[in-house]
Amino acid sequence: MVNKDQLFQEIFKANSKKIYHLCYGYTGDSELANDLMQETFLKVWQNLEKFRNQAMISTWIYRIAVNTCLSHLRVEKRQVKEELTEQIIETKAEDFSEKNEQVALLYRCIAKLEENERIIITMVLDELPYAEIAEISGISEGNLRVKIHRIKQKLTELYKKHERF
Amino acid sequence: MKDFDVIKNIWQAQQDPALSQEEVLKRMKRSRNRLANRLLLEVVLMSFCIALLSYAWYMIPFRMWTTHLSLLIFMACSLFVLFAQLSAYRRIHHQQELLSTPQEYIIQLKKFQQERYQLNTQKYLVYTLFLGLGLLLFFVEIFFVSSILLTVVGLGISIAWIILCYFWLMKKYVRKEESYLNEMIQNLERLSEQFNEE
Repeated sequence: MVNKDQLFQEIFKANSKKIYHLCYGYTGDSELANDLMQETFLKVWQNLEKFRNQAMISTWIYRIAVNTCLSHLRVEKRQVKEELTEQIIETKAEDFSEKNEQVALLYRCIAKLEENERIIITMVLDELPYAEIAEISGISEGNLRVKIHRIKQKLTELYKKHERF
Repeated sequence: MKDFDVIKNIWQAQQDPALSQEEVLKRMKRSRNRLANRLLLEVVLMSFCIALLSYAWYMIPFRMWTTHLSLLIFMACSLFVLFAQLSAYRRIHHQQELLSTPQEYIIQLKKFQQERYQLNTQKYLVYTLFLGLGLLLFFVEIFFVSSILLTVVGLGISIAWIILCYFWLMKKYVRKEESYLNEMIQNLERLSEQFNEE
């Protein structure tokens, strides 16, 4: 049990930040992202024995995180939360430093992308190698490069558009 | 001009959330125990029902075959619920599909949602019909051993309950499940298109 705890802690330490980013990028809501991240790590914990001998453990964890996000299809709730997040961001604008505001705006722009685009771009922003993103998303590397190029353009345009306001 | 590198810089400058692995581990163990306790409670309650039925069956000298058949039906219904709960629990914990690619996972989710709809609606129908049948059979013996008034009242309430379940509760439930399924399928198809290779 101690070994399992230890192994889990190592895995958590190495992957939690990126998984949180992925979940936050997907949901656009920090609380929900926390829930999804915990759900992901719960599944990792339950399947830890299967991962012991896996070479690319982070790929499997990302897959679990992506699939956990995909199965979280509560559209109405998400929209409400999006509005709420916007309200909170507006009300607490004074508390935000410029840097935090930019990050919040970036997450709001990511939330406006399609679901698969959100997943891919958060991995790109966290500098995962393209080969690993292709492996996680099940998209061929050639196609992925084209997709990433398009998503980058889309996100940049969205950010520029919203930054003006 | 904001190009993607600027966006990347903003992303990398974000403050990381305070994530404590101990806290997450503790919360996970708690939620796992909660799930196990809930299942245990359901199993205990159902087992209690089955034990109670068995006890009544053994202790009360029922004379008619219809009563024995009705008790058998009640017990089968209880066992069916117990089995459905256990298999749902096993399904939650059998998470091999989590490691699939998103495309495969979406297909499995779609299949799972359709199966869930079929199981829930059919299960409800079968459960209502069999419980109703069991009640009707049970009242045959009551009719012979008690007053007509008691039999009529008991039978009336049972029939009213079956009608309510079948014509109102079940239809409402099926409508709700159907709209949930349609929404899920629509969303999953949209996701499936997004992950398809163009």
